[in-house]
Amino acid sequence: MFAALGFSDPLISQIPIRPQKEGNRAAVGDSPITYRKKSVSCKWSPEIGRGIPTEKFFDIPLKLGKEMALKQAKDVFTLIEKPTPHTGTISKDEGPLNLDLWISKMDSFEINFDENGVPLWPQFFLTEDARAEILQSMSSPAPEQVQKLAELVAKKRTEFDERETRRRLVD
Amino acid sequence: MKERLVDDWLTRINERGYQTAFGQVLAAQGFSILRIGHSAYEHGKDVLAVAPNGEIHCYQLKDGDIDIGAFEHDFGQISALVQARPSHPSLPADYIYRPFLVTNGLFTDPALDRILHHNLGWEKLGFSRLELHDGRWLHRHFTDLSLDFWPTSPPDVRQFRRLYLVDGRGDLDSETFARFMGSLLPPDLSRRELERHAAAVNIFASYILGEFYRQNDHWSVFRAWTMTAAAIACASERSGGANDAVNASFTLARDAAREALGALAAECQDENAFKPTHLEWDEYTRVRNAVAMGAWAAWCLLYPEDRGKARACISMLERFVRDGRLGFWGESCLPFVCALSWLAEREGEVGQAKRLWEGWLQAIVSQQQRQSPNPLPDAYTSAEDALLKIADSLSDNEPKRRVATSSYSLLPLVLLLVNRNYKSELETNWKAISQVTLTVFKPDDKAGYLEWRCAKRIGDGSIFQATAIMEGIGRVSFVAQDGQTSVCPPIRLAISPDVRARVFAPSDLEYSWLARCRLQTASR
Repeated sequence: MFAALGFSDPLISQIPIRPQKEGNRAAVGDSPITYRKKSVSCKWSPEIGRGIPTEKFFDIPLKLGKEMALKQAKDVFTLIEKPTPHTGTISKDEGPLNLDLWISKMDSFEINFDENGVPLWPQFFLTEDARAEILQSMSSPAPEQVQKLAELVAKKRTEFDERETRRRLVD
Repeated sequence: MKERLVDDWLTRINERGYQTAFGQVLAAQGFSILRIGHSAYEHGKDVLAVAPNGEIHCYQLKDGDIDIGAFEHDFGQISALVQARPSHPSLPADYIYRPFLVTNGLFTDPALDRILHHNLGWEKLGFSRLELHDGRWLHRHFTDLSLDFWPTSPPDVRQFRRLYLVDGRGDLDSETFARFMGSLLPPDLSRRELERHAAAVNIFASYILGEFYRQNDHWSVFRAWTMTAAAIACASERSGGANDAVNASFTLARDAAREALGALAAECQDENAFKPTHLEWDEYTRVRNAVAMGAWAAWCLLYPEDRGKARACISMLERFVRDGRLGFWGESCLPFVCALSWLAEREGEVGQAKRLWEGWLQAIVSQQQRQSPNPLPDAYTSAEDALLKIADSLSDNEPKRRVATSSYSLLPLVLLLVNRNYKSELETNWKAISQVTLTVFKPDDKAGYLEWRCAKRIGDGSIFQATAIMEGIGRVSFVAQDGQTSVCPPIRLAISPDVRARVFAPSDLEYSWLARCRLQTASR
């Protein structure tokens, strides 16, 4: 340990460090997020009385920043390849467009509830024919369909409550 | 709060960290301190003091609680403390000797019982009994000495808090430290008041430096004690002269600075100490090399009998000069250049010293011209500030504006070169030299040289008279801003054998110039 002027470069020591103190999970908006640590590093062999030359020294943070940005970008693209629980499609080859199909589709969606506990169903964009077809099916639901819908709402309400409970802000 | 802070400091400090404060306690009780410090020849006696009644007291300082294990571990030293009488040129032929074991912690009951039994044996053999001072004793005496001087006004409290709450790793705030010393040593103190204030200054400096001692930041410790000694000397000068008690406080601070310088010099002997431990900008490393080498050289100049360390220092200097590993950041590094050059000359490396002088001269005459676009940082800019300016300038692509520039170090540098009869080097550069404006620091009173910030002063701008040196190197004159020509202090240039012998040794004149330059740096 050498103590002539301090123990580390004043430039390095002025770089602020902000520790993440709240674990590796958080929720932003409606979705839980799992944080994964990403790190980049550089190697340098110290010699007696010799530091890092000016150009190389100022190039190090640039290089590390680029490496980190690349890693982050890679993760972003990996993430967006996964289907989101907020959108979906229904195609004709999945069967007739009726309430049963709609309920089965809703099973994979994230459903939120308003302050009165009413489900906020997602919006659908349909052709006129398809709209008429599903409205026809929904206008006279069978008791089993009503039962399945009630079970779906109860399940989605439980999931919503769990999400809200673990939701917290990240520093 | 004050007691708790002293308690906190005492529990964290090591023995070196409280030794000066302990010496101050003894001095305040009328003791005369003959030696304080650690060496291979101390034989268990870290502090050697003469009591007011003429008894000789020796103290071995320890840190932490002392239990049976710690007592047995240090028993060799403790036996030497009790059984070997001290030797010092100032001691009388016959005296009563009393050994003391001191710690900032506590003695456990089994350890006390062991010491009691050893004392019975030692007394039967005719030795003095070992006496003890523990942390409670130290706490009481440190508190007594500093009680009346604790900062009370919010700015002073803030200053003290800022100085105390540090990492102790190169983060001594010299400006704040100097202001705090100034608040403890106000002007117009009577001699009697000065005694108490000077004692308190040493106690507070010990409090502030606790963390620096713990981290072995010898450079910060050296700087702080040097400033403390200068503050005491300044207050003493202004109060109309010192008495024994004030002299004792000054000596304690000065010796603490000297001990820290020695510790830094010892650290420098391991070449790996110069190896950066973290990612480090090379300019910073080069500047640190220059500071450390300068401090090491200064220590070698203070202790010329240790030739081994001096040769090691010169060897490292040659290596660093050859590899371009020394970074001289601005005008405030003149003392470091002087220390290195003087040591090189003393060790017979005249060529090496000449390279340093010439290199410094070239830097001054090329960058300190009156309207220089890129002047060296002035004598008031610290090494770290100079480095930060360089870092800022790397991203600044704007064309540099010419600024009014003057040099603080050119005049002493020319005198140094004249004293060495480097006539041809001066003649070659004389045109450029004569175009540099010189600044000479002149405080209103001589105590101003000892101030960190000297408010009552003038900066005298002068230039060398271009023709004088061309006519004869023995007559150096310079022209002040008001057009008045003056001749520099007389410089011996006669080539008689005795003077020739002096040419390559630092003269009194040079030392006085060094002192002034160092104080210029200190007196902002």
